[in-house]
Amino acid sequence: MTLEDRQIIELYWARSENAIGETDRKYGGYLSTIAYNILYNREDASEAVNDTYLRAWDSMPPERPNVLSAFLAKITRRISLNIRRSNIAEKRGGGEVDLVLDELADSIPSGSSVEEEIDAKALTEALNKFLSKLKESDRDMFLRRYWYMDSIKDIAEMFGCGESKVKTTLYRLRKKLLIELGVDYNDYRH
Amino acid sequence: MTTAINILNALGDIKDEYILHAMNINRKRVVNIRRVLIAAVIVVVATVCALTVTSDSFHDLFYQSPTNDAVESALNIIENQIDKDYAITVEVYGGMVDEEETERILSIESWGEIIEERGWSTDTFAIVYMEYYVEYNHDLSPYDDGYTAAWFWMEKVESSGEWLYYDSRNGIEFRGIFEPNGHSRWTKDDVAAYNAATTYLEENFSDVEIFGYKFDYSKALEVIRDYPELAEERDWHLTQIPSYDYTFYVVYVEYCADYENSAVWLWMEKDEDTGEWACYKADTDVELEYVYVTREAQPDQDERAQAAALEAIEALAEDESIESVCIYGSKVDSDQTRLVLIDGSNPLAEERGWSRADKTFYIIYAEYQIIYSDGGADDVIASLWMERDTETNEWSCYSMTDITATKSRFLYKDTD
Repeated sequence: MTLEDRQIIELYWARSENAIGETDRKYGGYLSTIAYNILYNREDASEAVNDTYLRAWDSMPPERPNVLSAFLAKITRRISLNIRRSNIAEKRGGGEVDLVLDELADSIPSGSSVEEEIDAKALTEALNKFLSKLKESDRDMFLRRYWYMDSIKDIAEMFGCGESKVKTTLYRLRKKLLIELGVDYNDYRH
Repeated sequence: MTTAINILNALGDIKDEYILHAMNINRKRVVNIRRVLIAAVIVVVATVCALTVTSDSFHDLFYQSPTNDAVESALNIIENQIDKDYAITVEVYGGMVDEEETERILSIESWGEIIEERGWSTDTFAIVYMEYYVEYNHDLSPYDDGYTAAWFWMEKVESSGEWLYYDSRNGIEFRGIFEPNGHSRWTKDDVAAYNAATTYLEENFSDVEIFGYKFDYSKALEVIRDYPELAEERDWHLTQIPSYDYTFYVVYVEYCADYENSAVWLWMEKDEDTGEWACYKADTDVELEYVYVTREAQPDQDERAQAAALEAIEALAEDESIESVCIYGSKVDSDQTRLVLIDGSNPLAEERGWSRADKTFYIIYAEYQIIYSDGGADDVIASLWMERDTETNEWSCYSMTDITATKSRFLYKDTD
């Protein structure tokens, strides 16, 4: 049986080595999927997950995350993106992340106000605001693509719809995002 | 310059609730099946106990339509079954915020941490009590019809003001079915009814050993419905809406007397003048539902069954197309096990000689991920039927049903 989150957190706080084993038992698969979607390489994904555990070990204490799964997922995602950056430097790419970046990049017109520097924190706040305005299914779809970096095909399967519907919805959401970030999308389309 | 990578990075720090909600999407493919299971769990278990839930909100068990009203949100959870194929009748009698129970839960010391973690107070947390009646299409659902009472733990989402059901499967804890001393929810009346029932049995049987008992709420409602004149004459009523008021209760007891296992429904009646409870009638025409007599003799069988189930899952990796299997978790699915073992409900159980008393059968619920050699992966929710060979005492997997894909794999045993 897996432990409850708060029990796992207690293990970290007690500096018990079982903490990592229990974390892996409960969330290993989930974190591996996040890492794999970004890195598209099982070895790198495994490295990212292991680094996640070490980072969690270093963070708790003093941290006591409210939602352990999200806490770990954020670390895994961040580490995976970093590993990917190193891989790009070494000419090793791949994974959905390239496609995701292309989609986002295509949506940001050059010369738009979005290209101006936005403080990272402010950008996160803007994203939260944007997400809060979406209906649940749209928000989930957006996150499955741009947070979890699932493929269009997988997202279509998850939501029980066609790939074209996913693409259309994501296109519409990116447009909304740009408006939220201060760009009238239609301004640069013409 | 704000670039795509900036947006991607900034997304990394968005609110946890969005990440978690999207995480559960993976499960939506199986939500219909799960709704059936949950509906059944409500019917089978929640009739006699407070449905209490702990831990994280990893899975969205109930199909929710949250509103800004806690009772209405709970009502929607029940009524969302109405349009489902498996549901014939779903009739809600009423519901209310159970203030007494809400305050009791908020005051439990051992819950302090989670209460603090979730920021629960009487403004943001409510236990909603609902009474309703359900009938199922038994071609689609193996579960019982009946009068049902359930307690829903609801928490308020601060940002939207909506009330959501607070759930977690691995933390589900059903209280008070068989543990009289550990049941903190009992009211004084409940304890009095239990004492009266125990006294009755001890007076009427020599050397009686009580294995377990439960307050059979649905049976009590049935009796009142089936014997309206008697109920009126004796002034029997049991209601929690608008306030707690019991003068009648049915207690189901399993016991051993004269070396024979038996079960009885005791119709307990309260004298409103003195507040005392007495047994009005002992309905002995009862078949055993649960037998705990062999618990001492076979103390670890559930754990052994679970260990064998995990081995069976791990053995999937022997398939060339599978690179590895990552097990998220497992548990003995007591409710499903019991449903299979209810007398006459499943011909296979009879044919294979599965018995709760002998601990020869358990259903193990498991979640795991299959990682394929080609790089793909599937999250699987499975139900494993485990049987014990009474000669060798070894557990093996009789069948493994992938609930996610609604397909079955048969392992180790020839199903013929």
